[in-house]
Amino acid sequence: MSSSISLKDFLIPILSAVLSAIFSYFVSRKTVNDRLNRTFLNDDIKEICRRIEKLESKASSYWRQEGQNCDLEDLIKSNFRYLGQDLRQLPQSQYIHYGIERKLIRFRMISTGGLFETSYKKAEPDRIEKIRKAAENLREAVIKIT
Amino acid sequence: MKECIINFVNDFTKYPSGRYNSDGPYSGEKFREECLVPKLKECDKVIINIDGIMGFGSSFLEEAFGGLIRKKYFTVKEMQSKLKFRYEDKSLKTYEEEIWMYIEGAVEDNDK
Repeated sequence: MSSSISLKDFLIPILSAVLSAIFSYFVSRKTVNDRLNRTFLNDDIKEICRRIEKLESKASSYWRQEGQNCDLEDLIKSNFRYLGQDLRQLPQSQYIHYGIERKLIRFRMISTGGLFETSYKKAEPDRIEKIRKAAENLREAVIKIT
Repeated sequence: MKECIINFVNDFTKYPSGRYNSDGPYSGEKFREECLVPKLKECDKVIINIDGIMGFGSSFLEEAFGGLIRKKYFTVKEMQSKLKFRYEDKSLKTYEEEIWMYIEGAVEDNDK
């Protein structure tokens, strides 16, 4: 029986230990990255939902009042612009799958359509319920992305 | 084939607002009458660049673009072959979609 250790006996355990360490490193790094990405996505979605709620509240307030309110009109339009930009940052496949674009357009049309920004504008209580529904549809679709 | 470009921000405004002329200097009616209709009559193809815009109200868009059909300036088919949009900012695509809804959904007025 020989007591000498061959090169093969020495190298194989070391090589397998190194490979296993590399594999573990990449797996754990991917897990951490996935968790971080999910956290960022969840934060983005929370922020988007907050913006939708804010817009719903501003648009409802606008249509509750008689006459024009230029500050509120500008605020609503620019917030729809920012909301569109935020939504566009969501994962594209899910943005399309959940019909986010159509739901955003519907929400914007009902909030800034009709006599919006006109001197003929009157209070329209009926529109407020439609705004609520359109905002809810959009919010529900966005939440599904999580 | 004559192709014209309307750069919305430079040729009209960054802050479009209002439906009718009586609603302000940058209304949908003013854009349609003073910018859009002349270019569409003059050129075979009109490209509207909407980059840089601070947001449109739907009332503005309906008056400007739906008004082209309502007021019988053009047919939907003519608009489909003449009008194009351009933007670098992909989030502006929703405005293009909305504009086409107004054009394709507009009904011609009977009193003109």
